[in-house]
Amino acid sequence: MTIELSKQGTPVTGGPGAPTLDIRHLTVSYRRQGTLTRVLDDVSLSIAPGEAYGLVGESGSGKSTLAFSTVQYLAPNAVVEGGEILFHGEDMLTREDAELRAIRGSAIAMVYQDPSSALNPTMKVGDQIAEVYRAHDLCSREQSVDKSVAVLQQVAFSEPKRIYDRYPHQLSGGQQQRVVIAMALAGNPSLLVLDEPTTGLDLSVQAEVLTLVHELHRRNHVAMLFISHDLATVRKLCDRIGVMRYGRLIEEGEAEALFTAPTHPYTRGLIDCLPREGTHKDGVRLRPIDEPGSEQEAGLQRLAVPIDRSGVPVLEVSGVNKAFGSVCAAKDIALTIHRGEILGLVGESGSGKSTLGRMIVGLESPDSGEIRLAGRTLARTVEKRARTDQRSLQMVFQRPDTTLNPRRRVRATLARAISKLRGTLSVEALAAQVRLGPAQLETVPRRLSGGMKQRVAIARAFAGDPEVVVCDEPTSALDPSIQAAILNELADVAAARGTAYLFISHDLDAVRYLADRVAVMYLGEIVEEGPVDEVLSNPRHPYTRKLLAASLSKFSVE
Amino acid sequence: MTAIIPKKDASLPGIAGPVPRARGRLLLPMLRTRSGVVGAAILAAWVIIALTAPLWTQNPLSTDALATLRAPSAEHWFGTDSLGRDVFARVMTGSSTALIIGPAATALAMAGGIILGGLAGYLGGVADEIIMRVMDFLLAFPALIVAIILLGLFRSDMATLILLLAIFFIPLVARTVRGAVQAVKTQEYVEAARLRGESTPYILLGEILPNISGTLVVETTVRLSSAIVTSASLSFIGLGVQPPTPDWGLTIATEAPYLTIAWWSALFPSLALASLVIGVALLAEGMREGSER
Repeated sequence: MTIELSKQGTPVTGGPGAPTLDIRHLTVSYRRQGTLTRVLDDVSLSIAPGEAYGLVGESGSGKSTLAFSTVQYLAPNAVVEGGEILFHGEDMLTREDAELRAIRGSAIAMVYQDPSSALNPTMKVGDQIAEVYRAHDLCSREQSVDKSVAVLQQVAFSEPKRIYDRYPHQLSGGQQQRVVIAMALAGNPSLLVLDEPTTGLDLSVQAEVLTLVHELHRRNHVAMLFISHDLATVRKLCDRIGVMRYGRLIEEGEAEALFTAPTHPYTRGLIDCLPREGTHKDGVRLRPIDEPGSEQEAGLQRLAVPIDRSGVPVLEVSGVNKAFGSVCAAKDIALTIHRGEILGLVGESGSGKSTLGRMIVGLESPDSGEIRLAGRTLARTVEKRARTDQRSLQMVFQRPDTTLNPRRRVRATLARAISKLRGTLSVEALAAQVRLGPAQLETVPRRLSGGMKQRVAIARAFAGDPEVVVCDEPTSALDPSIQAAILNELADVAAARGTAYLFISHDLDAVRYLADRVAVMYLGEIVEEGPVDEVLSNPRHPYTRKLLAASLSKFSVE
Repeated sequence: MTAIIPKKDASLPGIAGPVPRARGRLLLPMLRTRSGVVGAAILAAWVIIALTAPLWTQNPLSTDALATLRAPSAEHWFGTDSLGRDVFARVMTGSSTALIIGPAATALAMAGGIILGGLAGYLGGVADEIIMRVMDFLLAFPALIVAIILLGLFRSDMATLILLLAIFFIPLVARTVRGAVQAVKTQEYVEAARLRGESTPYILLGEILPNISGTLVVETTVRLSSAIVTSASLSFIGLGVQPPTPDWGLTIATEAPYLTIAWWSALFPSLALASLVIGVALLAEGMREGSER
């Protein structure tokens, strides 16, 4: 693919007055073992006062480096090769450390991806906010406390005085992120940099935080640089959007214009690649960006797998209970999956859906209840199960970074799985099923991208021709364009082999695309179950409605 | 100035080719740092000396009643000791006992510690409780005092000494290994191995140990230097190697009374001991630093 450089270098100075942030021709490289790897290549963008600018790109596209360079918080091995970062007309790159310290946290505030690491676990959250006021406004202790309570109220805490005295661990992830946002506001910034502020949060909480950010932006009129890999979120939140890839700003424009008429093929790919309402695995293939042959294949229809619901279900879970101490992770769970069927399991983190998946494959042992595979009752833990049962039940895990043994080449990983699970395919044939070539087989995992690692993990699960595969959020750690490829892969393998899946996800669009039926889990209980179209378009249980509303408010545009 | 601009995602076929550089990564880290290089050089020098000393030194055991406590000279580079033996020869040949006892005890301790700590960390539950409580029990005894009692009761030869040191180090190694194993055992590739029905020994040896090799290497060097010091201490108080073996700790003990009139006979073995311990410590430091890079 050739990279087109869109017209750049003429920063839009919107409205009267100078832009709040004006980045001109910024080029940054990381030095590693003597060579420089360019991460930002001649990036120019400007943000007007009060403007919300969204920066979208995959991991490794340089968007976080750009965010950190605005406050000069670059890694020690980063080399600024050229360009300037003008904040209110003054170049941040030439500032002294003391000046930078004064600017950080006050004039420019940052909100990071992981709220739990942005807060000091040994301090009351209110005191942490008060500290900002004392450091930057030099006000008295009492004043700073009053101001902190006020700003906590601003970030939608109904009882700010009670929140003030809490420690970070006593707050949920969403509450923590609101505290971090309150801290950012405390410095009364003119530029707010948000680096994927909702990535680690649950769907319903994401919506809550995004709504708050939107409101605060409107009310306080601060300029905002919002970084995300999720185009839909940015579209809703921002006035203008820039798309980054391989360190370059490949496209920039007004949010709606960019969305409705993208000029760069990559932007179009980003918009097109994800499943939307109305797409299902039995109809269309997703169109991953840059995948060789995806253009030709996109037109192909995937054959629907016939599901025979009359016989003995391939997997049957009944009366399963599990508690961790006083926390109930599974309460009288009953599920059935038939041959060739994909059952989606949705719910937020802590709802027990991962625990249920792990109990089915035998990594956790249920307190009571039965799990039957094609009518045979299974032992509680995988170590006690018969070889044929181990072979028939496999799992695809969530984190591509830890799913493969880093010390082993891909070929060895797959060869071991084939021999142990008594597979009939050769390593090459198995790899080819998930589009892994001979080059990847001789590689160690460290050299593979997240998507490639997840392909290896899928191949490993299918080494012995399983009957049921539990997929525990297999796409949630991947970039959107790769998510599409992995969803395709899962659907293709299932269609070819007639394998049944338990597809665990918090991404309703992925479930809508892949699943035939869906079960909704809430606080360890399955609250609703049925055909995927029925449940997701006509939810009965209030919790399903809440999940769906959160998902819609995040993705749809009013 | 060279700048690499990634053109395509590494996930595309053909970009991520075979990697011939994977080998030798274990040894390289320590040689990337200065302390690692210095430590490795000191250790290598002592190993060569220990292996070849009998070929080029005087007889370390031959006494000369007429030439006791002679100052360093061209004939006796490090002087002679209270029995007229050549101190240079004794220091050089003495390195062999230090380099047998220390590494042998360390190897035993590592083997025992890895097995026990690995099982405790991986199995968890009751097995963990039993193994670690036994380890705590062993740790509760002050090592040197117990050693004094045991070595006083039984014959004190090199094999007993090695065994005793190993037993004292096993709980320490087991604790470190257990922690490292616990961190790795929840990784998804270990769970995947469980799902395909791998045995516990295979999971420990094939999946977990290779991934905690950094911790193990550092632990080995730390234990090695403390084993060398401990064995020298035991010899010093007369419970380790017995005379007339030219052991450093033993030599320091027998020659210490003459320190005021003949500094050389005790000082040179002390320096030798210190240099070996420092060499091992530098090597450990180099490995730790190198693996963090």
